[in-house]
Amino acid sequence: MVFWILVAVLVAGVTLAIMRPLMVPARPAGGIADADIAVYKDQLKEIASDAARGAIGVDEAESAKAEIARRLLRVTQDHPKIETAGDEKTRSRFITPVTIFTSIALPVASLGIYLAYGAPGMPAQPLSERIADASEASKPNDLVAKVEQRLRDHPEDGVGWDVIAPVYYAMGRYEDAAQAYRQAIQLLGENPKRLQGFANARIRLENGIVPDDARKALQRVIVLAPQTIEPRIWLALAKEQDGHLAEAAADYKSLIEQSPADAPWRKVLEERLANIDPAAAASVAKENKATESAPAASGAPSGPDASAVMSMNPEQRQAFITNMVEGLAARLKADGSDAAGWVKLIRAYQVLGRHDDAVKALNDARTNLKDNQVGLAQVEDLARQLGLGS
Amino acid sequence: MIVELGHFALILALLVAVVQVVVPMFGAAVRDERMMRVAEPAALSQFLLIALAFLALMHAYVTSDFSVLNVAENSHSTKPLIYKMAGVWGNHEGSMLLWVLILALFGAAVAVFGNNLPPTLKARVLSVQASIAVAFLLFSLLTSNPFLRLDPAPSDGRGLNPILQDPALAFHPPFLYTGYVGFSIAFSFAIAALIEGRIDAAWARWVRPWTLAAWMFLTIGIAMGSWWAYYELGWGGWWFWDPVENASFMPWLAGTALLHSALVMEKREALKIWTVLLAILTFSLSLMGTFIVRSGVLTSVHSFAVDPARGVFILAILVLFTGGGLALFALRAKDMQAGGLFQPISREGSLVLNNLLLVTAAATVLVGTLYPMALEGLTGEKISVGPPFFNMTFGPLMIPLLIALPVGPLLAWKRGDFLGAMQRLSFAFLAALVTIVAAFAVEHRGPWLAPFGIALGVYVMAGAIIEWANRVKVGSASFEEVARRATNLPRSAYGTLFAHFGIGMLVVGIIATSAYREEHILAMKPGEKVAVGGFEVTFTGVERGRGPNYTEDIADFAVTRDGSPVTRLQPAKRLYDAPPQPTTEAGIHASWRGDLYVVIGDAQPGGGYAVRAYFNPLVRFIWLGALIMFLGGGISLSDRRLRIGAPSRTRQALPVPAE
Repeated sequence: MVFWILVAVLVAGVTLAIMRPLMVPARPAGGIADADIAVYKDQLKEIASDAARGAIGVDEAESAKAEIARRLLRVTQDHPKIETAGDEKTRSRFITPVTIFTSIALPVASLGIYLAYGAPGMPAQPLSERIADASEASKPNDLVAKVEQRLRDHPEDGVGWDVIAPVYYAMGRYEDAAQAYRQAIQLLGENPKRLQGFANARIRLENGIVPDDARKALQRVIVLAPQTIEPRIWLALAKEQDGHLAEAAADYKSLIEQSPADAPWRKVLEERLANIDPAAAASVAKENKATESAPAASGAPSGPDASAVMSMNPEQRQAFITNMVEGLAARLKADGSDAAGWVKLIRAYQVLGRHDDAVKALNDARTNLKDNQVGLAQVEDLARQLGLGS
Repeated sequence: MIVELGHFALILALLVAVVQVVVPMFGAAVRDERMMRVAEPAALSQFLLIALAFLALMHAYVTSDFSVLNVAENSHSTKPLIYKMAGVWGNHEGSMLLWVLILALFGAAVAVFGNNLPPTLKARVLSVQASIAVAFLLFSLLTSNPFLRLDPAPSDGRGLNPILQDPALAFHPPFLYTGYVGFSIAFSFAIAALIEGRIDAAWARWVRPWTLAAWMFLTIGIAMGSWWAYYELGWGGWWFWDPVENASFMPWLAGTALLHSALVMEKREALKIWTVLLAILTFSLSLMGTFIVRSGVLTSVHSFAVDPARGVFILAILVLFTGGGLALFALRAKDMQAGGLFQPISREGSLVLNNLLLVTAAATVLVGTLYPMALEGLTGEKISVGPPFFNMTFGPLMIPLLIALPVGPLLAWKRGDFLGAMQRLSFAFLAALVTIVAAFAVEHRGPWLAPFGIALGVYVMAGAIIEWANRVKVGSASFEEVARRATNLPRSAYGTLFAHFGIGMLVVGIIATSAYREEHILAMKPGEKVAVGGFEVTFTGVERGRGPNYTEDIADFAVTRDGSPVTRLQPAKRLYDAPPQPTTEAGIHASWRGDLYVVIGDAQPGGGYAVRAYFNPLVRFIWLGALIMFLGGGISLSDRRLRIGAPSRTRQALPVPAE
């Protein structure tokens, strides 16, 4: 309410101030010549005072005066009686419509635009208030802010960093999560959980690409806890991302062989393997009868694979899907002749809601498949289906 | 609530500006005094409303209100208070708000102080000024609104780029913008004069101080940016001919030309049409600077695609005002009355030379800046037009300018005595000669052209002093007479002295640093020594430290000269918490001789550290020179006298028409 009163005061005040000259009677306006003459007269006075102070010599003052006199003369010759003509009535003809229009348009338009763009009634949320409120409302964001405040005062509190790191991760603040894990590792030392957490945060931050520092952390996890499988999966994936497909395939293969048949990550590994080395995937599948149908050369999980992926928690699932898509994109970048691959990639981007990437992939596919009429037709069909257009 | 009020104020300001464009312009056309007078309260309200919006945004920054998107994206609760405030303009949206704030401030100043302006001129100037405001307010609200909200608010902001968390850079944008925007007044006056079809006597009297103020702030703004790059980027360089720098340098060159031609116009009513054209060009270059920096064409031509709305919008503004201004000029200039007459050898003539050289220099910089961008945009080919291009084109243009600089002020208005001026300058020639000999004696290893360059700087400095000495009659009058003359000398004369002396210093600093710079890049282990610029620098080790919002590795160097300790330098590498970004802090020991400049790099395998050590001779002259130029501008600005350039009485030949 106070807000609207202030807005009303503001609008009314400004409108009145601007319209005031239109509402008072006109003052006689000086003509252009008058203003010029005033300036020249000022100049003459100035020269006189300069000469009196001795700032300029007598000769100089004289010639300056002559110069100004010439200018004065020119003005009065050029503009005899300027701006005195004009009918008072024709001038004021415009005043009333202008006044009315402006006084209505100003408030209406400003309020209209504000209501369209602004967020009236949304309170300010200064940090100090939010921290004070946090104990009562205990919104997670504000609790986090409280912990952050504490960490700011005591950055040496390793436990604090250790506690907040997974929270950041869950909130999707991967950059902060990585930083918090880094601090916790520095202050409390390494353990597999922190290292893995750090690596995950870094990987998420890079949209599924495994960066160097994450690799180092994952290698440390393997040193500290040799039996864990997760870091190995990521490292194999890193090899694939580097383009070392043969090594990656070998790693995937050995990881599949080491995992129990019902391991949730197993399908994903087979999936990755199939993606880069269909033959190897098929042979693994044959060797292992527990797996019903190996997804030969399939880039997107389907049938049993999908259910395996579904059995992961949403976090992991998202990460794996992102990874697969990035892997596929990397492969197509290296060799863009695979029409089926392009179709998968475009569809995957669209499903993930990454519309811009989908359009970009579509354009890349068109460039790459110039000479492949059948493939191009497939891609165009899909584009129509998804409504990606041209 | 305060934030929302700020948002509303900004919108209302836009509408007020629209009224300010339309009503006074119409009023001036139909000669209605009441409608013309609407401009004054409109200009004032517009300024107050934008100031309200600006303060509201600053309040959000200071209280860390992360429900404001702009604050959440660019601030952080741990930042020191000063950087929270500076953070308001440390980002695109906020800096545009500062831009319009300064624009409105200048408009309001014309409204308040412009009582002696002819009413139609005043109405039209304010109307044109408001049209610039409309364009930029629209740009702000439509493409870069700083008042968008976030609900729920994030718990903390993303932080200000740490390399911007620096005092020199905190105040660099306001100065620079004051410079850029100051030229808008000259532009508005030029357009208004073209619409009027005549140039009033009050015109130059108004344009010159505004141009001077804008020029001062641009000078100090550029100097601050260069100073910041010098000590923060860790390269030991002070100018890179980078497009961002050129963006501010082009209006400076054009503005310097405008300043001098406005001077001729005020004193002699000559060069009128040329001054109008320069005013349009200078502001256009300011707009282009804004466009280059703001649109994203800089990082890559392709980032247009990232945010096409902004780039295209600013381009449209640029085309509208530059194209519109020049078209109007083409239509109306021929109807304007040309001004006074003068001979080629005269004060006016020398200022025309100054103008030609400065404008050509601005054009070279423009080509060097735009050509690579255009080429990349058209063909995708990336070329780099670096210092070599500018050294070969810009440098040679500056030589005649600097040679002519001391001569100009010694020539009389209208018709000058060239030989007399040369005679009076003989002391400056002597000083230059002595400098050449001395420079060769001290530094015989450097490039052979360098001593001549330094001598040129000394010649300019000496010339500035001679001009002053000549005016107060040093040597030909008694001491009392000299003292009396020195106190009575108009302040604008002192402004000239300072500004010209500063330029000389700047040249000396630039040439000395560029020619005689010493550079060592090496890997050092604790205990190792290196000799740089007559100093002996010993690396003692690296320690880890923690600041308010960063961790740092601080290296320690003991500096001795001839065995006696001079100082300890502690260059550091910082890693900021939010966003985590590394910065370098150079260790600098300043002396009159030059700067010892040490930067620490990464740890090397084998226990050493990469270390870069420089000795930059006389590098402080660059910024000191700029500071003195700034002061000169200030002194001249404080001189509010009306000015008349009186020709001397001797008639030797018939004057030739100007223009």
